[in-house]
Amino acid sequence: MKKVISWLLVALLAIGMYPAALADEAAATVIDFEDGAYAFLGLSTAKGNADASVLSVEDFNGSKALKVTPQGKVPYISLNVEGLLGDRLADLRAVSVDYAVATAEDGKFYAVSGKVYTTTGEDNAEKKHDWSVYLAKKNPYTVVTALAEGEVFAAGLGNTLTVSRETDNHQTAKGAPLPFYLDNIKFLDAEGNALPLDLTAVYTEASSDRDLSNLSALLSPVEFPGFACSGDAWAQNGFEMPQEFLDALVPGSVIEVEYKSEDGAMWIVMPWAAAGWMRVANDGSAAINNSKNIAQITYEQIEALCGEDKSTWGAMLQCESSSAWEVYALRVGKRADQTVLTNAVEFPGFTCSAGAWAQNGFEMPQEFLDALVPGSVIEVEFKSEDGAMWIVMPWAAAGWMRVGNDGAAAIVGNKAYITYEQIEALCGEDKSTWGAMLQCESSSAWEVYSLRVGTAKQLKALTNLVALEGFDKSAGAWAQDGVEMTEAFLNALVPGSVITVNYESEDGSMWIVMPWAAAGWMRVGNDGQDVATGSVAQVTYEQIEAACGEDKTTWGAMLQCESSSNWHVYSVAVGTPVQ
Amino acid sequence: MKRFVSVMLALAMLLSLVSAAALADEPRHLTIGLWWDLYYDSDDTSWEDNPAAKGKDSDLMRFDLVKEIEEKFNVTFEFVNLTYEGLQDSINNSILAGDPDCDLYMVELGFGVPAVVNGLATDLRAVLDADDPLLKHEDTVLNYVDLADGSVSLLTVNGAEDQVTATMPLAFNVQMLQEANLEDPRDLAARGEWTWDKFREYCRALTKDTDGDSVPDVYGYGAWIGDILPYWYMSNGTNMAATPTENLSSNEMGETLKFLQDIWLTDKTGYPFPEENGWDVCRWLYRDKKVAFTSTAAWIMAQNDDYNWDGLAESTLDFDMAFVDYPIGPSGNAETNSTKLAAGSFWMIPAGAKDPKLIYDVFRAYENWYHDDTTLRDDPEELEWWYTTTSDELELQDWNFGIMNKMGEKQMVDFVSVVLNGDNALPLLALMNGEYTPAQFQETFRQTVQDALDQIFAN
Repeated sequence: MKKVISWLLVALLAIGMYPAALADEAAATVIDFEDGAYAFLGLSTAKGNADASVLSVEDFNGSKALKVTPQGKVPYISLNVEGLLGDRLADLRAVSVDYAVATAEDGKFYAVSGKVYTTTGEDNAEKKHDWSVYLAKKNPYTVVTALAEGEVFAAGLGNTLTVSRETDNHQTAKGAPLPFYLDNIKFLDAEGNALPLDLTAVYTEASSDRDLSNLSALLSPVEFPGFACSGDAWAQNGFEMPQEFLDALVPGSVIEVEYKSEDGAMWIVMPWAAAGWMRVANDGSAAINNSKNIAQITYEQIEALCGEDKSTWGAMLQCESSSAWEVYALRVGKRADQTVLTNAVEFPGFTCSAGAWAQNGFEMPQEFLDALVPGSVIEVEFKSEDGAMWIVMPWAAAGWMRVGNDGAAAIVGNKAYITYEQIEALCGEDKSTWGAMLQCESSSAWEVYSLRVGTAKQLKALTNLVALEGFDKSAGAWAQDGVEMTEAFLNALVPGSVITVNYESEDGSMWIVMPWAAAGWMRVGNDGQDVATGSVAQVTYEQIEAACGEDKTTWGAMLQCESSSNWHVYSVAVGTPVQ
Repeated sequence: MKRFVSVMLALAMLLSLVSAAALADEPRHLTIGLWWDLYYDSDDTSWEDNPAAKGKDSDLMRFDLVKEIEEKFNVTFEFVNLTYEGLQDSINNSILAGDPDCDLYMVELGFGVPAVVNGLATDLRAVLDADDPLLKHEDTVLNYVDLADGSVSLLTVNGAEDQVTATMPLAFNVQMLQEANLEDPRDLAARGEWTWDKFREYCRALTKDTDGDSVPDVYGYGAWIGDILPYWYMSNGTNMAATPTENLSSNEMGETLKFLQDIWLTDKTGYPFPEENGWDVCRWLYRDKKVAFTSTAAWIMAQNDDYNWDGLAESTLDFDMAFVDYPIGPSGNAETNSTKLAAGSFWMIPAGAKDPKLIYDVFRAYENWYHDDTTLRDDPEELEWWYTTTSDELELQDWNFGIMNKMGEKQMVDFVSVVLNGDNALPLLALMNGEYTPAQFQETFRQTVQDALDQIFAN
């Protein structure tokens, strides 16, 4: 009997503990990194000064914490807040984080500070809040970031929560950044209660976060399946090209490599070429974005070294760098300049979705129709499973028409571009016969978030970039700041070259100023004469020449930037457009 | 038993006295919070610890001063770079909690004034003797910023360079006034006769149509409205956004707006405001002799290369620009008008700091590295740029520097910049084009100024 009672007691205890175990599992309300997992966060490279920091979970201050080891620029750690909070996302009103900074090699404490960035709501409006670890006796330091009224997260809109470290006194004093730590992250509701978390959430950087500065747009991209490999400095690694990739590698195409390398360099190698073992674009002639994580090499660059007959290039395609490197993906597509819309007119309320090969849309309002003129471009911001998007004109007098399908629309990130002329070619010259209905469609399930029409400007892909050292400046609206041009920069500033500015400004505008020009204090590229995307602005040599005169020696050494709103320029470089 | 208790009590008293005496000998450690690195403090062992030092006498004096201060006040002190964000966190949280992290903070107005208004700073009126020169703005080493509540909390460090920085004096083309047979306004100012009415009279006399097309070619005055508005309302003894309550709606401000409209709309003696690139154009007008009076600054004249400030080229102007006080408005007073908008960095002792008099004395001693010899502090050799930018005549260089220096003596806190720029910018051009009367403008936009102030003081 005693034995039976004992078993019953054990059973009861076990049953009693079961809900507790369940409760433990369900009650994850803090990210303490004790299990070493951190897939729900990652580095964001959306901003122009983003750092390729190393993330790891390590022991710190008696427990595990996320260690961020910066490489010199600004680390942005982004959390998949939507995945973590699920249907409680909208309840988020504050974020509590224990921040800490490592002690320096001289045994001293150096303060650090940064921001908590949020993008919330339908318009993904960005707000920022301060954090800091400012005294040795307060390291670690718990900072509770309260969200402002109206700063409310919503599901399905790509809202983000990102922690940056922007000031490091050690880096300022000694030149090298210190690692810092995040721990005990809690998401709090209006009452200060920690919200339950789904720690299985996975962070993936939104495609719109890709830094496309200096790059071409890829039309009808074809992926090189499974191209993921790595190598040490000056070591090659790669795979044989599959037939569909080779078929897409045609004149006018470009190979795009997504990568990471210690010194930012990347090129390709054609080891089996009949013309001999060939490095291609290892001389700085690959177009590389400012984040130095995407490189593009044109068909013509390969052709120049390996010969006109593609069949003699050999099937093996490898990657290489002058430092340790890792390649995540490789694709080829038809090259086009990136399109930027100016004087854009919104199609109000154009938000809809549908399944594969299904259409959905709205009748065009008059102001939208008025702006749809020769030379204009329709821009569709979208997401689809296979990345395809085009428009449909179902009421056209010429018949029900797909426009931009079969890869004819330029797809850049999460935007598709269809020109007036593409519609005209199918629906006829008389716009009044096109019908008022405009729909979207894709070959996979799709969602469209906005649709605009405007004047298209082209952003040039650039190679052989020469950076203007020390150009990390910010100022208020209509205020200028800059540095004197170096000899290397001036040497690269030649007819045909383009100055590229990597920036942020409140209203998206950006131009340059030549204050010491003999012709007088000069703005160049203002009033929409340059191409400015809100993150990249380009001003041509010829634009400066038109303002400051033909003799470059009279332009003065000082180059400044300016905007009609508060601005921050992360870098300025001059490069050669890809032909 | 009683004896035992008495012995124990006596022992306890003795012990407490001994420990108190020991503590009294222990130097007090002062922590000074700021957002960049400052030298020298008790951690520094050589004048070379300051990377910017070049071994000049002033470097050595500043370094040696640390030991003097430590011995005189029985303290050690350190400057701690808290970062800009950390400094604000420390002020807003540790002072509020009654346990300030630091004994002294460097602040800027944007968060310093709200801290004072919210009681987070020590009011030195309760700390210093009533006849302390600081309280009368007469101290050699330190000064303070006048705040609406009269508190003496935001300290500034005296020095000619700090004073002349960020001043925008009224300036005139000396030869143009001579050719018009007008008395030098500097003499009028010296006699107290330099008033708004006199200025309007001068502007009318100087505005000329030189080619007979009925359109003036030379105007009495020309400057960008966003640059000059604060200087004109200061000359009328007022402010726009100096306290938590807006002052755009005041009578004195109404007088100022009417005065400016009188020049541009009634007299038409102000250079018409350009539709585009307004301040660029207006900051250049004097060089083309399109205006007799303008408002300018040393940095503008340096940027325009007026007078060969760097010695690399000839002067580019064949006439002289002399600085003069702004004329006095009907509600102004030459003795009490503020003449510069306070800007830069300031210092405050947090509320709840232990022995604020000691902190004040140490800070004052630290800033008095020149031991009251202001010729060391304001060494003209160090200030050469400020002299050579505004004239190529030595006498005029001295005069112009003197005007800038005088302007810097009477600084005023005013958050007007938040309504001159950005999303909340007041439509000053519309006012100056006559789209609003002064009263309409005041009534329409008083809430805009108030909203901006609410945001500043809520933070």
